[in-house]
Amino acid sequence: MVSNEKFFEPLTNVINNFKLRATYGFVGSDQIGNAADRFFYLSEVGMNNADYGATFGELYGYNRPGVLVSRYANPNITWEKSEQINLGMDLRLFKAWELNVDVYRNKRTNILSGRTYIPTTMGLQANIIANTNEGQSEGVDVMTTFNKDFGGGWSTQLRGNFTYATSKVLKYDEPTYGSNEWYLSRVGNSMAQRYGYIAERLFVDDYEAMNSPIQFGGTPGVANGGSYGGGDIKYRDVNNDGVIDNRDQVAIGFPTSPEIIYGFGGTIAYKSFDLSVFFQGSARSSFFINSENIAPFVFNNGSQNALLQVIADSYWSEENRNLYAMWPRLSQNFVNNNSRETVAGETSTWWMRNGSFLRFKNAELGFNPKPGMIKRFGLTSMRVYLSATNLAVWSKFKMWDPEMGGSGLGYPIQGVYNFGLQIAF
Amino acid sequence: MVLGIILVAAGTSCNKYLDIVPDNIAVIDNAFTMRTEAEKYLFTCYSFLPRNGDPVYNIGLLGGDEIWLPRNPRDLDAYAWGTLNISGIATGGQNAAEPRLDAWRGWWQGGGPGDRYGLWKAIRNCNIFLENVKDLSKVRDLRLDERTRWIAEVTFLKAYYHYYLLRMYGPIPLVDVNIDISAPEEEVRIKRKPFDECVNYISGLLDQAAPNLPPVILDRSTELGRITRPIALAIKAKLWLLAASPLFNGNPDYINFKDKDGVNLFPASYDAAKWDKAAEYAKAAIDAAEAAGHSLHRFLGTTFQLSDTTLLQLSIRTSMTERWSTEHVWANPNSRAGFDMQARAMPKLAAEASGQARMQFAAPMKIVEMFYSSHGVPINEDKLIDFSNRYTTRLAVSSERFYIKEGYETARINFDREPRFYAFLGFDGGVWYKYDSPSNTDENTWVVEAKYTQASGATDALGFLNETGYFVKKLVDWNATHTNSNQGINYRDYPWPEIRLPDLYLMYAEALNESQGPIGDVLVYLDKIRTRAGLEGWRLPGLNTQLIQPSIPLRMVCAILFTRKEVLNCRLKDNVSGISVAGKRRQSLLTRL
Repeated sequence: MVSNEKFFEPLTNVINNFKLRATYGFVGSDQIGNAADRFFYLSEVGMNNADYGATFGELYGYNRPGVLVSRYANPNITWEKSEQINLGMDLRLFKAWELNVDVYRNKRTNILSGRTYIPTTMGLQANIIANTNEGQSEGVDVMTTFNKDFGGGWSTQLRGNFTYATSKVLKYDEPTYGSNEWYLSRVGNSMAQRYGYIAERLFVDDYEAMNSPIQFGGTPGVANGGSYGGGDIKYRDVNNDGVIDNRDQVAIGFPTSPEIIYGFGGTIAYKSFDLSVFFQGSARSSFFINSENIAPFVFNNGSQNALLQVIADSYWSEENRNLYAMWPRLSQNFVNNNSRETVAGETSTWWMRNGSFLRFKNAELGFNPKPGMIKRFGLTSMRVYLSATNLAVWSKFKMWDPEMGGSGLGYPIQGVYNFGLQIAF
Repeated sequence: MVLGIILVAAGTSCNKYLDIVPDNIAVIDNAFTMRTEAEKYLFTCYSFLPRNGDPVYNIGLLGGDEIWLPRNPRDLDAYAWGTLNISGIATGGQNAAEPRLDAWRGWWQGGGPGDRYGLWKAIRNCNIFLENVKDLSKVRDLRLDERTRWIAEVTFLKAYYHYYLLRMYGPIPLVDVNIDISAPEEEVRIKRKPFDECVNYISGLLDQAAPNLPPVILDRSTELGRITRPIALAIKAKLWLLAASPLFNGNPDYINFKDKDGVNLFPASYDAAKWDKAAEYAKAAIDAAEAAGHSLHRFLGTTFQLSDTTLLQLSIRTSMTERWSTEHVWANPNSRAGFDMQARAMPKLAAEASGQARMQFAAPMKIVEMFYSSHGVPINEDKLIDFSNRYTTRLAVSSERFYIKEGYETARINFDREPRFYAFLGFDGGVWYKYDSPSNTDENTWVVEAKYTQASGATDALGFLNETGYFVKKLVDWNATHTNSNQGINYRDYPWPEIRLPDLYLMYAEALNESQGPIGDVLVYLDKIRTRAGLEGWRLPGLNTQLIQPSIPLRMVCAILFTRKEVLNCRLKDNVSGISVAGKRRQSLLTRL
């Protein structure tokens, strides 16, 4: 508490309160893995697994079940460690403005993770999990308020907050990638980084598809009964190996949960009237449209989606081969080449959108008559107000509310308008 | 000013808590406490044996051109063939991203009874078993003689799984000892070994295993199907035949196939001595098999009055389908050819419920023409019978009635063929004698009627149909019965014969022929097979033995047809159409005739 120190006395008129905080901690967490793996360090085998048994005998009469290893012993399993540093500052100026700032860094080591570079030749029947990864998250929290009574009936209260949080993979259990596949490494990226394909544009026609790298082991040429062709998304062969497969996935976009969240607003009051507004927003996030959820013409579990106007306005067709249309080739079936999410849990830049937005979250205009004015009606207090939530949103993404993420045809976020009267006798 | 430092230190008195070993979790050690548990692990090592008795998992059966299927075979989703929805090998859909019949990882129908049966997992299990059972302090109630046998069996399986991978992938890594799961990256990433080193390693394992394996299974009721010494020696012979084959033996296409350190993975030059070894080991396998009581199969007769023609037919047919036939050196009871295999080869002989006789396996015309004439020579070499008009038709006469129904009009190519033709193929007008013959004899018995609108004709638009009109009779046991209740057909399954004695004869004849030319034993062993098939031997005067050398692989076909592909005995590139042994051989030998 710097402002309590002797040397600070001359400043206390301006700086009413000044406090610095710092914490450093080192904690372990044993809440790792899943509950079924309580005795993680031991191997576990199923001793009566019919799938791995065998049968012998002239009349196939002698049968014994087999043994399936569901976990290999790992005596080196240990808990996850986390080293945390927090620095904070509380400041109050002019008896009106308050500012709280927190900065933190959290470095986690021994993160339990499936080992990814175990080759098939190891012949393991269960995944190996080990304390291999390291990651770091850091961020800033800022909160500020401004309270002031200006006299003459004017008073105000303003507030704002800002959070920035990001993370970074420091060490990841992965193979050493060659120089042409360096992008496959996760080190240095956010822990929530999404990976996907780079969609270049749509194929002009089947011939182009046939003369391009084979995508996902499919057969090019829709006209010949192939699985993809003209009008479908053309992906970039990042490692130049002549095929599009999961080794062509790169880090794309921001994490799906925003790295920056902020809000601001306040209340201004003049005599009996008050007006308060609040805005909130987020930035540095991406989301991915779930294309199958909006695909028109496809019968999915017995129902069809209506045709969205954006698709009707911009789609690829034989007559109009718009290579950058919003929607690729229309089909009455899902085209696996285009909607990778539900097929393989993969995604691409084609469906990636900027998730930043600023929302006019709420506003309220109120009138509180003076007690003298309402006493003659037998009332002790009264408030008339007009309030609204979710008035507007500003975003680069126009198809639906960006806060709904990829599933655009879900139940939308509602705008609510109220007119109210509160009285007390 | 507040400066807080929080330190959380681990407690020091957790030892009691941590020492608790849960008693309801089985660990690997539990599998090696008693014989009954260790036996399960032994069977686990067996459970990875590829399921060749199931057409979907048999890597060669549907992947080449021995058997042709409808483009979209109903209820048969085989990645070896493909359907409208899945791309298969035979229909050009092999790819690196989702390799069909991937025995390496055990996906896409590679190997076992389901996915997950990758052969490297099998090898790891074998190594776990060997580590533990070789330790005399474990499984204390296991007698030493049985212990020795089990170790030999699993050593064989470890060798076989390596051999299987070698056959599919060429030079492979060798996993003699399991790598610790916490080993760092540089240790777990093992390298492929040169082909010859792989062969020597596998051959060495088989040498270790063979002496300790039983020559014969004495306890037939509980152990038949387990590994014997003749099996180990037969696989050794196959291994060396593979090594001697031009695909791996100095294949000029692979001379510069090197790993990242510049090590040559394929032998640099042709080594004729490998044929000598292959011949020597094949002979050793034959001797061991015959000493153990294996002999060429003969049909033992039945209470029904049957003609000699039909009895010979049954001898040939049941050599494949008789359970535990004397010529089955290795039959795998864990992979039995049942409904899945037989119904797909079976024509509709009566109006049984559709789906019980699926008819989908069709022999291509190339295979149909490959069978010999009744004189035991290829049809275009027969000087006495003219097959040039093979696709005209004529009526069958009475003397042909055990092959083709008397008075039935069918194609010229179906007449005057060797007994094996009628034993292995069904066709329009062909007799299909079965145990449930309505007449109880081979007169007036089942006949295939396969023209459009007839029972076995290609009238089923739904995918139960035969593309060529030639049905693969060889795979169907003669006990398959049409039940009275109109429920369709009951098939009698048989353990899939992995190795039959004629395989060994042919391997021996081929290897010896390559190393020494068509002398002595080459003809002796070929003739054993010809005689069983009702043909005259090559050694009879009048047949030109000069013809033999180039055509042994061709002649192999008729004995091993429809059982698996001997793809790798041939060099694939240029010389073979499709991926069948039925294709051509080395260019220098193609100049026959």
